[in-house]
Amino acid sequence: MTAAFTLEDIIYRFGSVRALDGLSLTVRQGEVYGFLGRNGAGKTTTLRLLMGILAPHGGSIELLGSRVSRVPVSLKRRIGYVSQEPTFYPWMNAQQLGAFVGSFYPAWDAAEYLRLLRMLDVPTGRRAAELSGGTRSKLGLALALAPRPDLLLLDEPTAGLDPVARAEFNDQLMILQRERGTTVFFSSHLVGEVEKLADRVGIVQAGRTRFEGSVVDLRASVRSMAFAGDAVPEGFERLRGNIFRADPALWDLAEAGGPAAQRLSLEDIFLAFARTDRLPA
Amino acid sequence: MHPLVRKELREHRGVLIAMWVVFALELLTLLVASKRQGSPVFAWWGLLVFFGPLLSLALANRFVVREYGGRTQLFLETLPMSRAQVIAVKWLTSAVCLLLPMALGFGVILLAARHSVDLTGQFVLSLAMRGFVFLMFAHALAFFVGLTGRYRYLLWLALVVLGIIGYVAWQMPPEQWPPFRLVSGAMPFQRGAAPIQALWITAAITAGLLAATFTLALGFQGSWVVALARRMSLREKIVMTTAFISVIYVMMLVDDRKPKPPFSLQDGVASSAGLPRVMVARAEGLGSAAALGLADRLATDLQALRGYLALGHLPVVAVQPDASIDSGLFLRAHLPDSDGVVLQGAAGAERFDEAGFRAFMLRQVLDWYGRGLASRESRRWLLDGFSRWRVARDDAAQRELLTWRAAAALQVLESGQGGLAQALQHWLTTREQLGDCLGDALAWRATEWLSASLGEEHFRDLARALFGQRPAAGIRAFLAERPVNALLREAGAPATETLAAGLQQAIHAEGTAQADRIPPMRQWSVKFEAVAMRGSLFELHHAVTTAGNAPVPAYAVRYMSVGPWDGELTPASMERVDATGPGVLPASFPRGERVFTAVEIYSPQLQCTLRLGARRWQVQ
Repeated sequence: MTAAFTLEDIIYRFGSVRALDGLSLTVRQGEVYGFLGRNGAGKTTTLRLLMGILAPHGGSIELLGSRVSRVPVSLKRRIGYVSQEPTFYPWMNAQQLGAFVGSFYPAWDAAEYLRLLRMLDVPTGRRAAELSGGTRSKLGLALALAPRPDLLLLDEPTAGLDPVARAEFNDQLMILQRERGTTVFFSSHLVGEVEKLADRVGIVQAGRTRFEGSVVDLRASVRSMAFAGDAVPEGFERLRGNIFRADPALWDLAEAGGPAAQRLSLEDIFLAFARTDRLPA
Repeated sequence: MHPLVRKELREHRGVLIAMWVVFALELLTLLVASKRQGSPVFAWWGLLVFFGPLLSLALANRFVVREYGGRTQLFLETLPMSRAQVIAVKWLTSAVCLLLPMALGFGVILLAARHSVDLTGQFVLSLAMRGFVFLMFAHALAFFVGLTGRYRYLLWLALVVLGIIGYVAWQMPPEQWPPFRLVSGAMPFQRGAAPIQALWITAAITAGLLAATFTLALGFQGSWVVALARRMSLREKIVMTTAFISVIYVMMLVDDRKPKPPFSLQDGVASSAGLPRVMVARAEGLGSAAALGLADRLATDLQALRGYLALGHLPVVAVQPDASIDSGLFLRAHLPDSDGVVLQGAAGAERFDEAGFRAFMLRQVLDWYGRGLASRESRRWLLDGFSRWRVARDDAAQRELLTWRAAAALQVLESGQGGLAQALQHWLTTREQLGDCLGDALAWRATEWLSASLGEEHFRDLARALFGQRPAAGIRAFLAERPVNALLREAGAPATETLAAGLQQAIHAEGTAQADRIPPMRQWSVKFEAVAMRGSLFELHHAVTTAGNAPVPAYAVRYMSVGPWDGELTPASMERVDATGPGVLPASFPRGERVFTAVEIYSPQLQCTLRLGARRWQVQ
């Protein structure tokens, strides 16, 4: 399967702080990729780099078949983006926003936009300032999907929504993704949401990718086990306390001669990554 | 049309329409008003100076501050459009919104001027170039400052302060700075080549501002301008306010400490050695010997004053005689760049009131010494009276003359409302009503009475407390002021009401005893009347009538328009018309205008000009 985009050793600094410190990940075409990380881990910065809002200080980006140092406007036209807190012009209604945003995209499909608004239950005549947070997120999704993008980037789109609104948003996102086969890359710090939606996940901590793979692989590679003494066997990486990460084959070998390793919930696995005592050099 | 341009026009159309309506009204007003200025082109100057900067500010606020302050630029950044493109489109669109009405206005003005002004190609091009470059400068400045977000007000203030520093440090008034030189008041009449140097410098500044705008907007991937757009926290507000006030205060301190050179009078005669330095310029009717005599008399007065009040350093006093001004009119020059007291009077003229001039000189020196504190209304009658008292104390003839004048002053006051106590408390109003001659005399009489009631020693202590202290410069002078009533009380002086009652009694007695020496002022009746002309304009009619068939003396009418904040009205700022009978003032006044009017009659008995019927009133 070809990659929708690949990030390699990306570095981005805010002054002396490295927000991204050698981040690498690959998102395949047509998949739903959940990007997990705690607040400040570098999720939004990664998405803003992919949108061309920021340019990396190091590393390389290969996006939709083009290797770029900074995402150009021509590529931005092929990307849909829903931000964490959509900041629409408060005086515009959904129709006016559609007309405004659509004029920047040659592939804008006005009929599709209206269909999306209806489907997502977004009122067309009400000003953005009068919409609830959930409806604004759905409006953002409609605006992002109407130009029929090749890649959809969502930056914690359900943050701040109540559970019902979040479930509605996610359900409709999945319906639309299945309809079109669009590549979806979304960031979140809600493990359950990622587990439910994503084909593959990436975990970012302190600007570096700590894990990349399927949810099944993630569950299989991180377990809790008390090894004899303090020695950590080769091939095992201690995440926190008795929680280790290793190839599933190594776990099978370790369990063969001793007690069974304890399987963890995805929530615990994420917490183990997020609270890792020390990052590997 | 670019979608962002469409969005901007749609978003700001309400404000743009309102501004353009105001623009049209202002254009009409300026065209009407420019008839009085002699050229319709004057309206172009008015538009550039008043409306150009105003519209630039409004546009910058709408196009920049609103976008970044509302964080909607984050939304724009997610669209397929570069940040530089956003800034460029906004800059150009707002520039067009500014230039479009101005260009239309320019066209209308040229149409209006085509029959009355010789519109050569060079003249029109010069006007257009000056206007265009100035407007682009105003626009670039407003746009750049708008990008500084929460610091924009601070930046405007800083620019004003820098302007003041520039003015003070380089002695270059703002109208001489290249951008403002383009739109100087003389612009409508400058038919020669455009001021090329000012045009180039302004264009270069504009280019610099444009570069700074893009640097700020694009610097650090747009994060500078985003950070600047955040609202100020309370702590930041406090820090910025404190820092700003501190800078202003330090500047004031530094400026105060910068000594100004003493004023030097070219071709003047200086007072004799050993006396304080007084210089008198030679003039017609005032040769070297007479000038030296006057300088020595003034210097002797100063020396005596220094001893009496135990004053420290005295200023240089310079006198510029001018025989053409009224004999009783004394003026003091404002000296922005040097230190001293420079006076003007009709020295050398036949009826020159030298005693009055000497008292005026002492008053101005004490005003200088007290950094303006002595001239505050609460202590002004004491200053006027004391300076006169110093000059008259050894001159019986002058004291007698002043006594008659004080009696005349009381007659004027008694014909109005309020008692003598109120007259002293509101001394500037009283002085405006009485004029300089009678005002000085009444103040002198009150001081004389106070001196007699306190005794020599206590009176001197009071005078030293009032006028012998030199306060610190700047704002600290205000803090150093002690209430006059407290000083009077400490000196053992009676309360103002008691003082006024005793004084009134004394002046009455003196007036009754010398009734024949006082002009028949009660017989004179002064009348001013506003008579409607065409529209809302009025002309003012004046008349002086007498009781019975007594002849009306020749008189002068003093008048002027008065603003709501005008305090003391000086004779130099008033117009004067001489009359021998009823007449009309050579000026017209719109309905509602506030005016001051008075009649002045020269009295041979009192040897000075008496002011009658003085009042401020509204024309209607």
